[in-house]
Parts: sequence; C-alpha cells; structure tokens
Amino acid sequence: MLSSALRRTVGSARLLVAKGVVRQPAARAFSVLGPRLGEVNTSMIGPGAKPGTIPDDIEQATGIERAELLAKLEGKELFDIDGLKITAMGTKKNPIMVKSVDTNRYVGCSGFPVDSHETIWLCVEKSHEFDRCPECGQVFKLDFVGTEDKGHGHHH
Amino acid sequence: MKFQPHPYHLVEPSPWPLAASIALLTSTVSAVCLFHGYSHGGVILTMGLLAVLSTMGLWWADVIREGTFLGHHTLRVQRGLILGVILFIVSECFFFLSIFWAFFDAALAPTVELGCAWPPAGIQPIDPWEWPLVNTILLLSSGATATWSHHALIAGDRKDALLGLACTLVLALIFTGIQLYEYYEASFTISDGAFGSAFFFGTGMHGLHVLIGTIFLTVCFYRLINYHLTKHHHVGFEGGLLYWHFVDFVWIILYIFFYHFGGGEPPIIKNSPWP
Amino acid sequence: MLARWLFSTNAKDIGTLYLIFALFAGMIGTAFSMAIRLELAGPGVQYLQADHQLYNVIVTAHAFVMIFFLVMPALIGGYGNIFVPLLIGAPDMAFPRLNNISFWLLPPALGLLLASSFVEQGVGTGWTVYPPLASIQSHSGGSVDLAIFSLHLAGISSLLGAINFITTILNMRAPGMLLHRMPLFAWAVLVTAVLLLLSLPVLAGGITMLLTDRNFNTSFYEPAGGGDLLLYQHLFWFFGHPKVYILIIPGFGIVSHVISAFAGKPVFGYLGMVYAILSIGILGFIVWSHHLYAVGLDTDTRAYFTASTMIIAVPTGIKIFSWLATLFGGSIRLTTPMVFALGFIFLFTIGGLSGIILANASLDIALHDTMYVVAHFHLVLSMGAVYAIFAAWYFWGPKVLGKPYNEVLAQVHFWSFTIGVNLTFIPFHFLGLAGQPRRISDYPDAYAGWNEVASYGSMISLIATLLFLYILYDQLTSTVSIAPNYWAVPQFFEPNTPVSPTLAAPTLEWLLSSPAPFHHYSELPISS
Repeated sequence: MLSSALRRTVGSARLLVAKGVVRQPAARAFSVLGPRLGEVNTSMIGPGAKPGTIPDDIEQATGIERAELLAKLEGKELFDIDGLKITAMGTKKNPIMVKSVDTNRYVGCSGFPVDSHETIWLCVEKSHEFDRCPECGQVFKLDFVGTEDKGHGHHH
Repeated sequence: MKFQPHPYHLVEPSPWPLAASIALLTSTVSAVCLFHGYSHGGVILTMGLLAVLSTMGLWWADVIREGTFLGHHTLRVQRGLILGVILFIVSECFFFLSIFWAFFDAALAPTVELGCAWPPAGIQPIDPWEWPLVNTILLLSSGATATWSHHALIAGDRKDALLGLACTLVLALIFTGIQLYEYYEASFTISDGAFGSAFFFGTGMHGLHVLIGTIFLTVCFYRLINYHLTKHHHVGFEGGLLYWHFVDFVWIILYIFFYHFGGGEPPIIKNSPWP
Repeated sequence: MLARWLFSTNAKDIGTLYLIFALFAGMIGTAFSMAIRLELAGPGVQYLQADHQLYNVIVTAHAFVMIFFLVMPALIGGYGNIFVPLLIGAPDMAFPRLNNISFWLLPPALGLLLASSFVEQGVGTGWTVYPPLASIQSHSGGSVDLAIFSLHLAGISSLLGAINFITTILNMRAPGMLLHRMPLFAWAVLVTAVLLLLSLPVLAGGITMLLTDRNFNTSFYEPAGGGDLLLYQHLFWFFGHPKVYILIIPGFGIVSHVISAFAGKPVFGYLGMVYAILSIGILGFIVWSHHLYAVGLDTDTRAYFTASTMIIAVPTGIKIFSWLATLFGGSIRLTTPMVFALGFIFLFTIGGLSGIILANASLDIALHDTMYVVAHFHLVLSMGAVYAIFAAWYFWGPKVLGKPYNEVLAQVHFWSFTIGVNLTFIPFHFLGLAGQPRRISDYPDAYAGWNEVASYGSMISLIATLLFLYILYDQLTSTVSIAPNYWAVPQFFEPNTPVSPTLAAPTLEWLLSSPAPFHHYSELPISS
C-alpha cells in the first residue's frame, strides 16, 4: 500500500512520540507539542490535495497516521513492532534495557539465546533497581522515556 | 500532542451496533408476520430494512471519519481492515458454495419428477449465448475497468481513476438492468421446481451481491471525487474492488454451470406427456 | 453508564456482557432439561399430558439455547473476548465496534427463538430442523421461520466475531510474540474462528433455502418439485460437524492453561498441541456424513466417513496424552479449576470413546437416533464444554472480578455437579444400547429403571447449579481484594525473602491487576 520509498525504514531506531512533549530541535518539521490555547500544530495537518490531482499521503494524512508517516520519512519507526533484540545475556552490570513510556512494561523472556525456555512474562518496573527472570536469571531494566505526567493527553 | 504508544485503533463507544440489532430484530419479526399473513408485516419489514441500511450507512460513515478525517488508520490498522474484508469475502465464497451444492445436487442426478433430465422436462432455459453472454462480457469488462481505475489511483491520475470507476459503475448498472429484463422475460419462475429454485436463488443471491458491490463502488466514487483517497491509502477502495472481483468470479461459475451446463435444449423424451 | 454498557467498544466489558448473557441462557436451558427429565422420569404420560409436540419443542429449545446461547457465548464471546487480547498482548480486539454488534445480536436471537415456542405449535423438529417435518405442511405456522431467523442472527453474530478474532490474532500480537509462542487458548480461539468462518455460511444457505421452501414455493428439499430432502441434511451437517468442534476446541485451550497452571509446568509438547488443534479443525470438515449413516448412503461413502471420523481420534488422543504428560512429574494442586479440568480429561475421553463406537457406520445403524447418541454428546458437552466453562470461571473469574470465590463451596459444587451429570448421562448408554429412541416423549416400561436414575441425577445437577449461583453471589458480594497473580504459590526453590520483587507469570494476564484496568496495555508488552 505504501510506496517502497516509504516502506524502507532506515535502521532500527525508534522515535518515541511522548518525547515530543518537550520541543524538538528546531531543524525538524516534526514537532509534537501539546495543543495549547489558540495554538494549532500546523505540521500535523497537511496542505491537502491540489485540486484535480490524487493526493499523496503526506499531503493529506492526519492524526496518528500522519505521525507514523512523518516518522517513517525521517527513517524511524513510531511504533516498535519488532521484538526485543537481545544480543547477550542480561546481567546486573549489563542489563537488557527496555524502553517504555509508562513506569512499567511487560516483558517476555525466553532466555538467551532466544527460545531457550518457555516464555516467562515479567513486569519490569521503573522503581525496581533491576528485574530478573526467575527461570534463567536474565536481568532487565526499564529505560523510562515517558513523562511523569500520566493524566495529560489521555481522555479515558 | 501525546499519542498512544501503539498503532491500533481503540474505537470510541458507538450506538450503531445496538441500533443495527434492533433493526434486524424488527426486520425478522415483521418478515415472519408478512409470510404468515399478519397485518402490516410488509410495512414494518420495509421500515426495518430501511433502518438496517441506514445504520450500516451511519456506521461506515463513522469509519470513514475515523480513517480519513481523524487519521486513526495507521498502517497496522489498514492491514487489519483489509484482512477483515478478505475474511468476509472468504465466508461469502462458502455461502455460494452451499448454493452450488444445491444446484449440483439437483442437476447431476435429476429425479423422476423432473423427467430424469436437466433442464427438466417442460423448462425452457435461457439461451446462454444471448443476453447472459453479454452480461458476462459486461462483468468481465467491469472488472478490467475497476483494475484500471485502481492503477490510475496509485499513479496519481485523477481523471483516469474517476473514469475507470465510472465505467465500472455504468457496466454494473447495465448488467443489473439486463438481469432484471431477463427475470421479467423468463418463461419459468422460482416456483418451477428445483430448476427454478436453484436458478433464481443462485442468480438472485448473485444479483443481491452485485447490488451491494455497486453501492460499495458508488461510495468509493463519491469519496474519490471528494479527495478522500490518496495514492497509497485507500483501504475502502481496495475492499470494494476485492468484493467486485469476487462478484465477477461468482458470475463466471454461475454462467458456466447454471446457464451452459444447466441450459441448452432439453432432451426429447419418448412417450412423454409433454411436447 | 449507557455508553459503557450499551455502546461498548471495550473487549473486556463486552466479554462480561457475554458471560452474564450465557449465565442467563444457561438457566433457561437447564429449565428445559429439567422439563425433559421430569416427563421421562417414569414410563407413560407424565405432567406434559401427552402433548408430544410440546415435548419436542422443549427438546429443540433445550439444544438451541445450550449450544447457541450458553456454550458459544461463554467460551468464545466471554472468555475469548476478555482473554485473547490479554494473552496476545493486544490492547483490544481488531474491530471493537463490530465486537459489540456480535454481542447485541444475541438477545434478539434468543428472543426470536423463545418467540418461536410461543406462537402456533412451536418448533418440534429437534435442533436439526429437518424437512419435511420442518416444511410448511407439517409446521404451518410462523414458529420454524422465527427459529430460522434466530439462527440467522446468531450466525451473523458468530461470523463477525470470527472475523474479529482472526484479524486480532493475526495482526495484533505483541512485538516478539510469534505464532509459535502464542498461548494455547489463543490458538484454540483462532482455529475455532476459522471453523466458524467457513461453516456458518453453509448453514445460512441451507436454512435460507428451507425458508424459501416454506414461504416462496421453492423446491430445494421438496421431492415433488425435483428437490432432495437429503440435501438439507448434507448442508446442515457440513456446518453441524465443525460446529461441535467449535463448541469443544476453546475448551481444549482452557484445559491446557488450567492443567499447566496447577501442575506447575508448561504444557507437554506445545507444538504437538498446536498441530493437534489444527488437524482436528481441518479434519472436522470432511466427516459430516457420519450423521447421515442411516439415510441410505452408498456403502463406500459410509466406509470413507467411518475412516475419516475415526482418524480424528488420533490428534485428540495426542492432546489427552499431552495433558497427562503435563501432569506427570508436576506439583499438582487440586484446586477447583484443576478438578474440573481433570474431570474434563477423564469424562471427555469417555465421551470420545462412545463417539468412536458411533463413528462405525455398521454399529451406527443400530445406535442412530437412540439414547446412545444422546449419551455421547452429553458426555462431551455437559462434561466437556461445560466443565471447561466452570474451570475457566474458577480459574479466571478472580482475575475478571477481582474477587475470590469460596473454595470449599466450589469443591462441593464440583462433586455434586459431577455426581449429578454422571448419574444423568451414563445410564443413557445402557438405554441406547437397549434400544430406547431419542426425541420421543415416552418409552416402554422396560426402560423405566435407568430413566428414573437419570431423572434423579438431573435433580442433583440442578441443585449443584443452584449452589453455583450462590457461589457466584458470594463471590460478587465479597469485599476481599486479590493480588494480580491470584494463583501464584512460592516455588520450592524460592527463599522466604524474595531475591527479586519482579512479578513473573507464564502468561500475561496474571501480571495485570485484578480486575484488569479498563484500558490495559496502553504500552504494548514486548518479547524477545
């Protein structure tokens, strides 16, 4: 559905949207400010189709679809759909870092190398010094990239 | 703006499911009343069916708003939507399987009540080389024009996309018109034994699906005119096309088996009470 | 309030609605079964006063209500909706609004079915609704048409639900959760959904043709018009056989989870279990004519269906043996969900064995339409599917409600229900072998003995069910709150002062609070 140009994602870096509550460096078009009174974030609304043409996604996409698209154009993925990449056994000195916008994240451990044991699900918490899998002893640590403000922006 | 960290669409609460259920309840109860001669069955059935159609329209209007105007349809959601459409079409294939099963059950070993013949004794089937052939050409062409429209959409050619889709709709409407004419002119009816039953149930269900597909593509046409669709994000359009190709495919099978295999001149039976 | 419960797009809330509905329908179905056993308690006419049509109507309604409004809503609509997203790490279903119409179609469908028994003579055909008994001459009122529409609505409900589950499971698994790491209950629901997707449209076609035969003078099933009565049976059972696997496969998934949890080990042979479920699903589509052995099919046709039906026993046996192997060497805890799951394994196996006997076309000639068939499917349903429903309730109920149930009362429930249903249905084997037909409201005096036993058994299971209602009430009014992982016990190797405060569990649902938050997984779980 997307042209190959957009589908190509460069590298495995992950753009974390919640980070955008803080202003991005000015050079980037993609800024994700919270809406303040009277201020409209114009980069989240495209210019729309030129009359008589078929619009491109970038001209017309809005909302979270646009956020995803803009991230892809920068070569990043907005959402991490790939699994956790583990290159070595997690240890206290070198824990496996798990990025999260929440203060906790559920992580499935299947040992090292991957699939060494049945998946055990752990609740990796920000407040814990480290978290260990009871089956293989692998160590995980939460890499908190969210904000402490839990209520803002959610409407449920 | 703080976004959810996952790409999925958590839909807002909506009254349409409940409304549709109530509309369907009304329709089914009133249909039974109509079948058994209770008063006002027909009126209430009409109202019920209108309610069902309206609710479906309002529901899909919400989906369009959520996808096109609010941007909830991320790539993941688009993938899910197309998968849903494909699964639905698979289920429709199995529905038509049951119809073809009924046809072959009656046609491969026609009973003595039919004169052990197919077409049954006394039935003058429709000549497959006449209007049905035209219809086949119309539908196949409509499939081609639909694909043309799709390619034009992806290439960014608005004029061709609109023209292709318009041609598809015109061909579809002509097909429907010819089918209605054939229905009117046919020398047999749905109550003419197993042949009439299979023929009109099969082509009738197909016609219903042509109608649904036509409405679907008309909505796509409206959306194309109003710039809803982009070069790479047009799930509704792709869904409509898939549905249309499915309708076309069912017609080919119908044409071959119901019209050709099930058609032609009935055999001359010796000592038959019929001419 | 209105938006939350009438316009819901939340899978857990919709699942809750399904469970409440299933409970309600279960009571109706139980009442019907009591009516049946009361009439059959003794030979000769009892309280139904020789209204045999009414008896047949009750038998028909009992089946429809139990199948379409208890077992399916409970297992797929209830536990499927609540736990499949939780197990695969998805925040909700793929089509949350479609999920809601799947639920809200069920009350009208139930209403239509009950209406069918209030108008004219009711539907006295059995749940199979065969013509010519179901045709317009023999059931000339609106009852059968209402029942057909009830099936249409229930069918649409399940079909849309199937599309929803398949899309959810294929498209919304958490990052890193490959299909071969997905929990077994999710696999079971996936296969069940595919079976629904492919079998329901054929039922729709078959019953719509019955509708047109009745009301529009078509001749699909009318021999005088060149139609074929057997066509209906083929179409119905092409749906009907996958249907019975639809009823039991989610139960298989639940049993895997419960056995694994209370043996303290992962299920033996995960991949074998997956392939077994897949095989049962696929094979289920090519055995349907074992319901038509007595209609006059060709010998070779009967031979084929005998063979294919018996082959299904192989993957089923693999599952049974894998569960037993899971128990072997495990640290067994005989909690209530566990005893229901163990009861399932034992009793479903017995039911399956009577199925193997019925699978033989030769033997089926003697056993077709006798109580032996009734025994078979009640063993696998009342003691298979229903045990799975209870096991799932006791296992997952505390997670859903956030409240514990009374373990002692629950054990009493298990034992009294088990004694009741076994007393009810085991005698049916003897009655069937001795020749008592099914769907007949009376029997010769010779069959009186076991029938009396069976009727007493049904009373016992009724009392057990009332006890279950009390257990539910007690649970709902409990003020105790519980931990996320309700069933966790310290492992023998764990020290008293935990090394790590990390919450860990073999499946995701036990990491969430009890009850789970309204919107769970606002951040997706992730796996390596």
